[in-house]
Amino acid sequence: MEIVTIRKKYQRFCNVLWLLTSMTICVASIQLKLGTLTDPGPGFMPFGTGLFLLFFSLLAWFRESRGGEKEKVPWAGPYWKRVITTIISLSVYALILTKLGYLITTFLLMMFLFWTPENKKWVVIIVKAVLSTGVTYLVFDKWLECQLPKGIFGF
Amino acid sequence: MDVLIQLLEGFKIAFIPVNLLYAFVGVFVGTLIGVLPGIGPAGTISILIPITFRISPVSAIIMLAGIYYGAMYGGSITSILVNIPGEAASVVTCLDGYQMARQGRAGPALGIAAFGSFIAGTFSLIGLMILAFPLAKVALKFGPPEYFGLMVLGLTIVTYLVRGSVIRALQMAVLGIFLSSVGMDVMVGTPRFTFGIIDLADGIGLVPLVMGVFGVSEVLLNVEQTLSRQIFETKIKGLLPNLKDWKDSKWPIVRGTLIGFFLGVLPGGGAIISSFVSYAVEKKVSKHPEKFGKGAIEGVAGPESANNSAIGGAFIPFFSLGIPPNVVMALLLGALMIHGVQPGPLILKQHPDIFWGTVASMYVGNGMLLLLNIPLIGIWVKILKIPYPTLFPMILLFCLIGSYSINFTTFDILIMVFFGLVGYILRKFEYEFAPLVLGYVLGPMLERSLRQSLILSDGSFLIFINRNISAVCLLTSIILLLTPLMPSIRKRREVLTREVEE
Repeated sequence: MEIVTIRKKYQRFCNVLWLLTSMTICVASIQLKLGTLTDPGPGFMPFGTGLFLLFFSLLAWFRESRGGEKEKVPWAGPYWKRVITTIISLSVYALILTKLGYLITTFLLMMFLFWTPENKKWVVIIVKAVLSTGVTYLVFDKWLECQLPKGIFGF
Repeated sequence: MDVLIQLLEGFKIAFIPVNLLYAFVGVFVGTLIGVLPGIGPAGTISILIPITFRISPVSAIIMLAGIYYGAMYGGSITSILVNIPGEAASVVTCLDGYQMARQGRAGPALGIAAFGSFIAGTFSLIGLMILAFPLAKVALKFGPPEYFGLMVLGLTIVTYLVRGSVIRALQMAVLGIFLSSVGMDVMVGTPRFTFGIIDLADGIGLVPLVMGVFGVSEVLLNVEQTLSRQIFETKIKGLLPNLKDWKDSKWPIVRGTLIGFFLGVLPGGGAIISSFVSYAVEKKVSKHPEKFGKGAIEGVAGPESANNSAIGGAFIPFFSLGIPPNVVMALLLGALMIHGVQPGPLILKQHPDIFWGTVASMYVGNGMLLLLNIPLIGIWVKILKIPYPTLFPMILLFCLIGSYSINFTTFDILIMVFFGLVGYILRKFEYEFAPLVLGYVLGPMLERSLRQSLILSDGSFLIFINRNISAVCLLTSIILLLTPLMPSIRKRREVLTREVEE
């Protein structure tokens, strides 16, 4: 399924996010102490960036709300669900890596990533997952001594 | 004479077997990632930075620089044979290179790209040797206001030269500067925007950030599309361009070399911009502009020379001022700083081995590329046939290992994934990331020079106007920022953007 949306609507939402971000930066910078011009404090520069961001965001809002027609554009490709599953799998990988160790976690992740609707042959997926995990382990951990995490099983 | 002696010393360093090996690994990996769409030199250098921890700084920069210019060579192969640019600096090569391949002239297109790159790369190195020292001498007299002016100019140029909206590019650059302020304050050590997270005390890592916005977001954009790609099936024969090809290409190579070199020197310029400018110039000066886009060899020779020449140019502000003019150079700066070496005017005196070793190794590397690429084109074409469903898990795995092994913390992986998602969403809205990363890298230097300048001047901003260099830089920045408001220039930018997108 192709998600089709109206870009202008989402662009406006994006501009609101920019404005909120810039205002949050300004407020948080004031709390850090701005200092004086003769002795600028830690919040001085972030406050300046917040102000500039606010200015550019307002400018973008003004320019984009003034012109341009509502444009129907595909927001996501046909396999957009794969984006979500990839993000989730990478986040889970980060959370369990030190617990299960590099070999097990990476093997599981690779199994998941190599599996696609076009490629469902388990033998091929397992071989690719074992090879990618094994070769990177040998190169990075053994040869380059990158100290990849061992996990509770000690490997 | 002194330069020649120093260069000979450099060659002694470059010809040490281990350095030759690292140069080879660099150009080989560079060509490989240049060939493979989806991972550019910035992502690859990020992945390989941890590997350089255990080698000397000279070997490290020799390998990393090799990746950079190797990627420029490799990118042209994908552009010509698949019509997909392996990396951004080869986008324009698609226009005529692919058409040449369709007409059965893939060989001469690949050949002229390789020879043009070699010639341009060699000449830009001569320029680097000539200009780096005088500029470093001048730079020794620079104070915080001058550095501030230069960095503002660099950021302005990079935002001005983006293909899309200048305002969006400015938003990204400012956001990058803000992100660099996360962590300990550069002058008094107060924690800023860390939310009590210990892992954020040292700030957001450059490598997870770059891998996220360039590597992961690119993969995410690709996996949501169909994963197959077509390779133009053609027999590649006659890689040596004929006499007519050389005649048509000689001036585009010369012009491309000069354009690439000078745009490379400019902060914010670089290989991508110079290849576009070179193509536009060639089309403008050609007696047959209608042939462009239909297989004109000038459209391959010029941009390919320009993107390689830009690399030599980019090393000038890097070595003599300590200012990285683009994202890749920012990563090289980070890599050297990890080794305790601070690029800048003093590096030429304190670490001449690094400067001359790098220069000499680039001569050697350019030669290696010429020897490697022409006979190995068959192998690169085979690599191109690796299906994306097999390729993208590997790219993600290298990104995961790269971001983990910087600090051995999974927090960096989460940072990378977060910026991958942010990058994916912002790319949908046509935001570009070069200004963000350059803003992030220059942010701490910019803040330090601003605060030091204000302390020096007792809080007066007039110090930036009273100093000539900073005044010129800031004035140029203001002019550049105001020009898109002029209707004629805005229209020309819009036409250019449309042409490039078409």
